[in-house]
Parts: sequence; C-alpha cells; structure tokens
Amino acid sequence: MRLVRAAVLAWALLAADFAPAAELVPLPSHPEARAWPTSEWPTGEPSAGVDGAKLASAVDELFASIGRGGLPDTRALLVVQGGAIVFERYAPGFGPASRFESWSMAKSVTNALVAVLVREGRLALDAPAEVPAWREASDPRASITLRQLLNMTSGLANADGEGGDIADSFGADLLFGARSGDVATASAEVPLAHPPGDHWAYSTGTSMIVAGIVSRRAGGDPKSMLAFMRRELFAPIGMTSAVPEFDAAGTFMGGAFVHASARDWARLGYLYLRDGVWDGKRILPEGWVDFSRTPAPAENNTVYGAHFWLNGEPAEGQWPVLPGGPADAFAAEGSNAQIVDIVPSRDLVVVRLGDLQSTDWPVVKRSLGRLVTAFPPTAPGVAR
Amino acid sequence: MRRALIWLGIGTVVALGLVAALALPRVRALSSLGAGYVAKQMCSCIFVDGREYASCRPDIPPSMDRVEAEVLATPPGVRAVVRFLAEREARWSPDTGCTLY
Repeated sequence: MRLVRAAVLAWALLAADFAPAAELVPLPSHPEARAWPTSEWPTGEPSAGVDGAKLASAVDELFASIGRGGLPDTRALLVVQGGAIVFERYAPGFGPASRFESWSMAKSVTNALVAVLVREGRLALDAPAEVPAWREASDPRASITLRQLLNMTSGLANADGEGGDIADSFGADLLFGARSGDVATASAEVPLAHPPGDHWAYSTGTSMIVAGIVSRRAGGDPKSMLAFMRRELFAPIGMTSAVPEFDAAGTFMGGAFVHASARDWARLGYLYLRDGVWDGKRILPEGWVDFSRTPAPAENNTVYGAHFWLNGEPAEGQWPVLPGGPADAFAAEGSNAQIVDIVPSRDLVVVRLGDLQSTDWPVVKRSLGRLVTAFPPTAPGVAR
Repeated sequence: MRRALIWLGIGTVVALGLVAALALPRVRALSSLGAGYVAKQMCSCIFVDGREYASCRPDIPPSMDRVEAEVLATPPGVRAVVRFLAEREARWSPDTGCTLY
C-alpha cells in the first residue's frame, strides 16, 4: 500500500500543474526602489489619483458602528498600496502591536503551509490525501485529493452548517463542543455526502483535515509544527506576531485559530499579491497563487478558490468578496468580518479586523468595496 | 374527585419529568458548547491578544451571558461554567496560545 502511495505521489509531483485555465489579472511586482516589509512596513501617502473623499467616507462608515463594549466594530483598518502602508487606523485600545483573531482566515495560512510542502515535493495536490482514517483502498474517501480538500469539494459530510442549528452545527461543535478535542480526526471520520470533486461545501473541518496532514508532515506534534510554521512562513515574511493555536490532540487549528497583528495579516496578503515570492525568495510554488484565486470546479461555486474567497458573481447561497469592487479581488476571510482583501489590479492589500456586534457582513463589505474603488486601477485594461 | 386530582398531579409530574429527561442531553450539549466558546475565546483574548477581561467580555455574544468565566493563574487560562450543567477550561501557553479542554 505504501509503495502504491509513493508511486501515486511521484506521478502527481511530475504532473503538478497549478495553473488555471481562465485568464487572471497579472500579479503586480514589488517596486524595486522600495524595501520589503520583512522587519518594518514602509509608509507613504496614497498615490495620485486616489479619491480622498471617497476613501474618507468609506473609513468613516467602517468605524461608525459601535459595539456593546463601546468600541467600534472595526478595530483595525490598514491599506497597503504599492508595497507601503498608505492608511492605518485602530480603535481605541488597539494598535500596531495588537494581535487579532483570524477565525477562518487561518484557512489561508493553512493554504500557505500546504504550498510550502508542495514546493518542497513533500505533498502533491492530486495525490490521495494522507488521512489515517481513509487508508483502506476500499474506503470511498481514499480517492479524495489534497486539491479537493483545498477547494472544499471533497464531498465529506462535515460542512459548517451540517446538522442544522447552532447546537447541532458541525463547525461550532468542532471548535467548541464535543469534537473540539481532536479536530482532524473528528472531521475525517464522517461519510461522503457527495462524490469527491462534484460539490462545493464550506467546511472548517476540511481545513482541520488539511492542517492535520501538514502537522503530520512537519513532525506530528505542536513543537515540530510550530518550528515548521516559523521557519518556512512566518519568519521569511516577518509575520513574527503570529500565534497559531492547537487542539488537545496537538493538531494546528488550521481552520480557525491564528492570532497576529494587522500589519502581519497584511504581510500574508502581500505574499499572495506578489505571487508567493518574498524579497527574491520563492515561498509558494510557481502558479500556486493563481490556483488559489481560481474558482473551485463545482456547479454550485463561483466565489471560492483554494482556501481563499474570490470576487466573482456569487452562486446561490454564496457571497461576493467585495461588492462593487474589482472582479480580480480575492480574500482571506473569517467570522465577524476578519478580512484581508488582495487586489492585483490596484496593487492593494486591505486589512479589516474586529467584530460585528452592531453591523453585519454586507455593510462592511460594501464599505470595503467603496474603499478599494477609491484607489485607481494600476493594471492595464482594468476598467473599474 | 380527590383521587382524580391526585392522579392528575402525578401524571403532570411524570410528564414534566419525562420532558426534562428528554431535553437534558440537549441542554447539556448546548451548555457545554457555550462554556467551550467562552473559555476558549476569553482565554485567547486575554492571554494571546493581551486585552483586559472587561474589554474581552463584551465580545462574547449576549446569548452566552449566563456562562460565567473565571481567569485562572496557574496554569494560566480561563474556566467557564454553566451552573449545574457544564464546565470547560482553556489553558494558555506562550507559543501555542489557548487550547480548549
């Protein structure tokens, strides 16, 4: 069985092709004269052509809703244009050193960790995912690939809403309920609801399965995993405030829990804006960012790539990333509107962190759409 | 008449007991979920994000107002309790944040 798996992995590595079929807006390059933001973020003024009034009104909207504790729901807002911070504002009590919870933005961190292992040839997208519970060849889940897991098209019956209301919700139970002790195992030990590859369903459990695969590859315990994350991702891009959290079984909670400063969340976005290359060093394999920002192939999906959300026309039950914003935007998103928007056509990364106590997702997203469109397109041929 | 009232009373008590027995597992599960949420979120907010208890607590949804949270010193963490129904604990370590137990 091991020999077969090794052969399949070798074949998948040779055949590796992350490049999407659809044409994507090219990812802009880092300005040559500007230092990379590994230790410090350069700061600057928004470029000429920015609609200052529109930017100011979008910012006011975002900080207008006040929550139960008297704090604005938006706790941090940061805009990176052309490799420099051109806008940064925090709610009272928060600042550049404050850490913020990722919620599901952790899924995009997990995407980056998988990418590193794929670049190193230690994982293959199209090989069957290495999950202990699916080892038997007769198991219908044995054919599920890492690509399908990242695309949320595994077909597993572990979607976040699976089970009905909050008390029975698979996602809530996984993070805080009876399944929270061993999230990767609990997420994998479910039957198929659809044939693998056919149906899209958003699942924190699926990200936990992926995090489990990465954790085992990194050494199988929190110490090894933490060392891997720091060595291969956090340190190279200067994301030094990051604190990933683990379950009681020692698996990285890669579907939900990473804490980092707003500037560090911007660094993660900036890595993807620059095609996975940081200061001359390739962190993510070539073509990986394009794979991540291409819709997962499923009939019921238009706005989800590979652990990143896309700004397409949403299918039924899905949401756009940036209403009224550029079609090429893609984003890491988490509960209560934790958002890192990446906009290649405007050379932008926008970070919004906080809560949703007296506002909601559509309001925040509309404001962010207005904010982004206050900046002029930089990519040729992008109209809006 | 008196005997009928006694039987009616007994029947009512038995029916209420049955309903309570049937609902208890769900109430316990819900309470454990809420306690887990409060323990983990308060622990991370205080120990990982470095905020004060008073700043963190309003971030917990009002539906969990009945979940009591106690900050623990040794080992550092947060214990959350729904009286008579559920208790969960999250423990903090500097490198790996808060883990829910």
